[in-house]
Amino acid sequence: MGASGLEIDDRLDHGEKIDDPAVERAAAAASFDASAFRQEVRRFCRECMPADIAAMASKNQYFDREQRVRWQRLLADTGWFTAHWPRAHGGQDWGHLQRLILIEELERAGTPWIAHFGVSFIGPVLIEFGSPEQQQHYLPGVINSDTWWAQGFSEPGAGSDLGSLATRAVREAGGYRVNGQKTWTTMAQWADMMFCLVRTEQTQRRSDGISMLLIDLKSPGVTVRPIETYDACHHVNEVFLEDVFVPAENLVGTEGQGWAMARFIVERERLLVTEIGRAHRFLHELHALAAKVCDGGKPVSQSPSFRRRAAQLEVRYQALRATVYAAAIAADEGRHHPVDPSLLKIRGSELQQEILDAVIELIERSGLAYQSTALFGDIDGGSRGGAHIPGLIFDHLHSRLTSIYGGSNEIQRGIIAKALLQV
Amino acid sequence: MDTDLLRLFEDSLARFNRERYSPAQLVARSRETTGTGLLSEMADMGWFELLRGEADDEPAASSVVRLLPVFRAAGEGAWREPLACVLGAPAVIAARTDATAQRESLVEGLISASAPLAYAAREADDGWHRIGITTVARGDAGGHVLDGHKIAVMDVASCAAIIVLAVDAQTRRPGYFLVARDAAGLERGDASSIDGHGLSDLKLTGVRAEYLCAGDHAARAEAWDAILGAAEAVGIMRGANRDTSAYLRERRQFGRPLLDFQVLQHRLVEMHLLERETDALLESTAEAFDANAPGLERRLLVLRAQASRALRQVTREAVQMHGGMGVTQETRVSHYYRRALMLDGLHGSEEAALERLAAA
Ligand SMILES: Cc1cc2nc3c(=O)[nH]c(=O)nc-3n(C[C@H](O)[C@H](O)[C@H](O)COP(=O)(O)OP(=O)(O)OC[C@H]3O[C@@H](n4cnc5c(N)ncnc54)[C@H](O)[C@@H]3O)c2cc1C
Repeated sequence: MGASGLEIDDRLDHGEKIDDPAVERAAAAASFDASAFRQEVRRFCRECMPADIAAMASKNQYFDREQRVRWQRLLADTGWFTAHWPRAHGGQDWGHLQRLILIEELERAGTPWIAHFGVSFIGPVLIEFGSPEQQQHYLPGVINSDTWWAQGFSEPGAGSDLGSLATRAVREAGGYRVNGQKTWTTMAQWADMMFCLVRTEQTQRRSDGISMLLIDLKSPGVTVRPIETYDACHHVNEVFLEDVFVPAENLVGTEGQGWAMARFIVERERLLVTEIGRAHRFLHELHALAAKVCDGGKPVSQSPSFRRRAAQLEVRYQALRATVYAAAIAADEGRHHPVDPSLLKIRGSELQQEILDAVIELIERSGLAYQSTALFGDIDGGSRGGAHIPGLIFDHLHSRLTSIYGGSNEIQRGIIAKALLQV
Repeated sequence: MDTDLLRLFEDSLARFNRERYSPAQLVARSRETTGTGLLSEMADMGWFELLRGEADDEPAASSVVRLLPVFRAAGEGAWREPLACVLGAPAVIAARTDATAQRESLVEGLISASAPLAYAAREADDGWHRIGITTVARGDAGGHVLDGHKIAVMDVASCAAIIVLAVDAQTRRPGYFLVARDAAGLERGDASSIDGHGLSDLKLTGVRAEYLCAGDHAARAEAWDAILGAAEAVGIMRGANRDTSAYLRERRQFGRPLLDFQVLQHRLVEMHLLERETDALLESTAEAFDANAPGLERRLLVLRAQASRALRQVTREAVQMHGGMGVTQETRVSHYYRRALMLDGLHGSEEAALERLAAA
């Protein structure tokens, strides 16, 4: 076993089957070879990642829209980008397991994060709930990344309590008049379209009156304003909707179905929020840093207390990895466990936070220099212990968000309590 | 200081935070490069007079206890001023400078905030230890000449001069030297830190310097700094706890204030316990320091471990309980969080302190 104990890398390159027997069996049942596929994705990342993107990935830098789109198109060319969609819509009917392997490997290689809003969220929603016209109109733009989508769920008054959302859509000739405000809208500054939860009716049960509209962000009355966050990087926004006209054909499904669609998104996508590949990448960073950073003249990697802490993190990583694979296999076999999505969200975010806490403790002794420009490759952090340091500081700060967005860890624990204890 | 005076002093600090360091003012200040900010206003309030010895024969920077209220207020207000360049380790060194005239002028420059001093001790591989200093001082006719590298020097651009720790080329004995900010042969790699302070690496090539005092004062200077850092940590915890309780009382979800949820109450309680315990430990350690009590080294490590752990937990929780608001520039807890990381960087993390405690 290597110094890091994360030996999974090396053996694969010698052609060994590195996945657990249960994973290999489940893969075989789905007619693919887990290790061979993993190998193929690794080769793709090594050989096909454009040089500028690879250079930025090695420094943990922040990709712009153009780079993300370019990468997504390369993935689309392989057919992997939408492979989890049904064949009838340009997919390959992949199950959760194969998608998990793909995403894990992409994350481990540090490739640009796939913007899930299109390919994982609205695409599958339109396939499940949308009209044939909507499918024809919007799915090609998702597949080739021509359309950038944003998710308009949260509002200033509706965070954890999404059901209390107050953005109103009032019917008028040919469509709806929408008024309200969305917030925390990720990458809305790049977006062309936003799938948006709105209230079309005041109902007894609040969630019954919620519908989903597709809003063109170039419509008159839409204002996107950046939210300044502590990482000095613009990624979230407020979206103001003032008398915005939305054509009737942009309603997805029927009025009142919005809540079901929101749940559909959340339940299908929780395997991915585990971000097990990112955790692996950060563990590697931790070990690499510890070998370089010295304390009292000796590399930190030689300190018994550091080694013990790293070992603890490895245990947590392996436990979570086993759990997410088990959950994927179970889901593919139709044995979906109701608490799995919440479990994976909680543990995935906590693990990232713990690893990046250890990372920041290695970096902080040289002063925590942080300029967001360094995230975009403008300056070289050479004298500050390496050009990849600002990116790691960003990742540390960002890790705090992982237990807040997409339903906070407190909310996830509440969901588990309800399901498990039937309270 | 007697308790009535202390109360008055704390009131004036609290008023300053209300009137000059509201969250909105903090946000506005965080958009500017720090400079010296409100330092001279603070000096005008007489706060830095606390550096003076109480009795005539007592040197300046003798009592750290007296400075605790200022640093608690600095933490709570999330001040961005280079306070440590006036009241921190440089004050200890300035006050122990061998030459009387120079000592007095340095100390007056600090008390009036007209000449803050940067502190350059750390080198690339020593972490929080000051062993194996490689910056070298050579004596020549006109004084001394320094060669070497220093890292993580805070707020140089806001200071009049830099105090550098170096070893004598012949005797290998460490000593403190004063270097002008714009001295010939001094190259600065300037960046800004995660909490908006100036942060520089220094390269010294044949830089002229004046000898101040022996390097034996390093342990005292850095202990002094670490105690003040713990006071700042307590202030941050006080602010974070107050802000978080207030936010949860005000923020409604599911038709009621978030503070109604018992899971959140219990976590807030834990945060308050951490604040109280750390404050008590801070007071007792600071008094032991002033009295030069035995076993100080271990007590300092205990304080560091506690302050680091408590502050990191409190600021993490404060951000989490603010939800998305917790990471915005406009919310004070996001500044607290960044400052907490920085304090660990300056004084050492819990892990580092535990390791040394366990090894001792
Ligand atoms: C970086 C980032 C990106 C995001 N991107 C998007 C996006 O693209 N689109 C979108 O629609 N939304 C997005 N969000 C919004 C996100 O989903 C919300 O932040 C999240 O739902 C929490 O809501 P809130 O921030 O209002 O916190 P609040 O709901 O106000 O919660 C504050 C605190 O109270 C806790 N709490 C709340 N209710 C309970 C309870 N019942 N019991 C115990 N504790 C409770 C919470 O866990 C949290 O710790 C994003 C958020 C962030 C931070």
